[in-house]
Amino acid sequence: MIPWRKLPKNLQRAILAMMLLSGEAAVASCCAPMVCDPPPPPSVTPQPTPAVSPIICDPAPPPSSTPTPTATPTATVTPVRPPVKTPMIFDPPPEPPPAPDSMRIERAKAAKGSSAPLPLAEIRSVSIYTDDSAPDSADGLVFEAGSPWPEARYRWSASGGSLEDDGGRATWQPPNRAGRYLLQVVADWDAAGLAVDALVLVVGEDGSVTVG
Amino acid sequence: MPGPSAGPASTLAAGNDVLLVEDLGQQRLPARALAAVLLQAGFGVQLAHLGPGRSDGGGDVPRAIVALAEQLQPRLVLLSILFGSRVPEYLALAGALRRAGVCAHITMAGPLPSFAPSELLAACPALDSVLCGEAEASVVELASRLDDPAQWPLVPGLACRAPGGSTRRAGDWPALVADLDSLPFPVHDGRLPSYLNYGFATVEGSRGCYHGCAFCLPVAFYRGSRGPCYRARSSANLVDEIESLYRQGARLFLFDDEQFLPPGSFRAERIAQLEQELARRGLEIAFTIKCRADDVEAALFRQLRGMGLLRVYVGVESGCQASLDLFGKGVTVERNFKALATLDDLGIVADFFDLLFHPWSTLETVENEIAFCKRVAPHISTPLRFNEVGILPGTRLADRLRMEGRCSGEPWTWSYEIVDPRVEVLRRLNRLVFTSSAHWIRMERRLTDSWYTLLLERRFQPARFDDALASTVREVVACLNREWLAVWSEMLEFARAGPILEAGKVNDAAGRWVSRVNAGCMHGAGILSDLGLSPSTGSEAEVVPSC
Repeated sequence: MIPWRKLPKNLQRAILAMMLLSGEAAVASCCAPMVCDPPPPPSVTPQPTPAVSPIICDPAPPPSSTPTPTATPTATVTPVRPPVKTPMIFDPPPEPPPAPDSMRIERAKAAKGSSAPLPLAEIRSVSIYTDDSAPDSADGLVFEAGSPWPEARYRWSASGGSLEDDGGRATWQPPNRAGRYLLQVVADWDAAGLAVDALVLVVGEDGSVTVG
Repeated sequence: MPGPSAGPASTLAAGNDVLLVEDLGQQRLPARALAAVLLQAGFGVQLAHLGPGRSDGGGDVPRAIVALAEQLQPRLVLLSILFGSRVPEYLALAGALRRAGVCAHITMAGPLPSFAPSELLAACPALDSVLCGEAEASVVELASRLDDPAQWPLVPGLACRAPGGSTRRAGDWPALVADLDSLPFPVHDGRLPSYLNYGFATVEGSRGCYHGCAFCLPVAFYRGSRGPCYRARSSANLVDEIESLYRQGARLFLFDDEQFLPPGSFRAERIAQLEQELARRGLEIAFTIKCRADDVEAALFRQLRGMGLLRVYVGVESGCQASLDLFGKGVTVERNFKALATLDDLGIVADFFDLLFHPWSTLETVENEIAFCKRVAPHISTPLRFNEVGILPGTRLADRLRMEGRCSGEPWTWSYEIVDPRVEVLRRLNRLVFTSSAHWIRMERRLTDSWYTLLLERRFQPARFDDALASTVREVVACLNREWLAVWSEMLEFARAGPILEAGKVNDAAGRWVSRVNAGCMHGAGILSDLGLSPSTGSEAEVVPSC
């Protein structure tokens, strides 16, 4: 396999475009072995992160960090201050007047909706678990969905291979072609809520499957 | 659901007077600045980290911090609040500390608690007080007077319970520290985090902002205080701190200033001073800053890039003029576009939020935002980040929303619903498909790391810098952004003409859109791995000082 970096630039662009411009997971999956070899090391199941309403002026995030190994922590010594120089200070500007154009937004007419509750009342959570108790056989890999909210309807999908959807459980038969495939479950409570979880399944050249 | 990640930090001085709790993984400075003044006043201080966990405040309690407090029995526990969404966790911690028998005075500080002291005290019996306003002076006062509650009213800005149970505010907020040079440097306890063996540290060259955005909590906070709304440290004092951190291994500096650049007439002189001072001391650094779109001027940013500027957070906020006016930004859509294009031309990575949703959003404003994103997409090298305005107490938007009777929930993050139900459903879809998607969040982080890898190499090892690799990462971002925007086009069409108020059909469509976004993330991550831009060791974990 030719390393990605040694591929001609035009070919790199063509592959990227084919993978992502199509917008179709299945098409992208077909290309996966060309660009994803060797597969990345397996990682833990992704954990949902709560949506955070930011204080708007947050800085660009710092890089993920590795702690610098150090010996026993030491007390910080407050450095000697340099000669005091006059810092820059500024008084508050006057309160800006109300933005006239904002009225345009207020006056915008709302569409007339039904009296039924709006969809997606809650973004809930669901997790995919590997069913270790299921026999590891040619029948496929068994996954289960679990959510703290009861009585969900589950819908499974996969970007490759074949899938047997059995409500809270699904059996996935990997495809013959090596690559990265997406297994997804949607947990549906109608208007009350929705949740989605997805796993990346990496099929190796030898047919082995790793949860990525 | 994951529990909060919590880890006690290190002893900064002998004695166990004060335990300071903050999300140290955010690399912000408030707790470290307060620790510095307490240390200077002779108090023993410990920093403890409370990472993100349950946002509802229920369930898991950060037992490590409770155990640490039980062991140390500090006299004062200070909870430093950075985000409104995390307040419930901190209140839960306060309750857990009390149940565990910790009898310390528990207080809270930060811009957000400053605007809701009564509500916080009412919500949490374990909380003894709230330090309102800039707390450098008042925290030392409180630590000095802990043993005599009768003297608490003498602590400026301290809100606490009166004997009858009502909230008692001890006078006005403390005056802002006029001379920032007089403050000790924030503590870093000698163990800086690092990325690819480059140590990094957050620094602050100024405080406050001389603009007046209607959604901005810091603007409200500094306007509500006595004193100048924008203060800058002298260049010499700032570079002293940079040099001190440089000697400890820091090479990447994250400027956490609300407004890195002073007003126009002072700007050139300030940057020239910093440049000269860094050069004179032989400090070759890399850094990131925050600025507004109307700050971006080619010559100035070319100079900053020469000094080591890698990445800029630009306060673009919106690509819709009506929304920009509502926010009181005082900039035009065209200026926002020009800023991003200019930074791109200079090879500086720009990062920004597009606040697609706010309480007065309409289909038209959302369409304008997406049109803007499509226009700027060829000029950016970071993934588009679709977000919504958080209505924070003290801001003009919060006042307006309250006057309209549309605030609900708790005042540390007011909830609201958008009037047009189609837009409200679009907002919920945005949360599901993008902002709360674990794959999307990890992809965003992965790309952030990739850019830091490349940009640090360009700065410090230019001979090794692979321009083709950077172009490929940029192409990955472009592909992902095109895919996100294609999903957005479909969602908008669905809102305009589709059954967006029918739950069954919305849920079916939402599953498909999430699938597309997740598939894009999966392949983007695969490409980055193939390029050798794997997640660095520890990238999945928050790294903070440990015991």
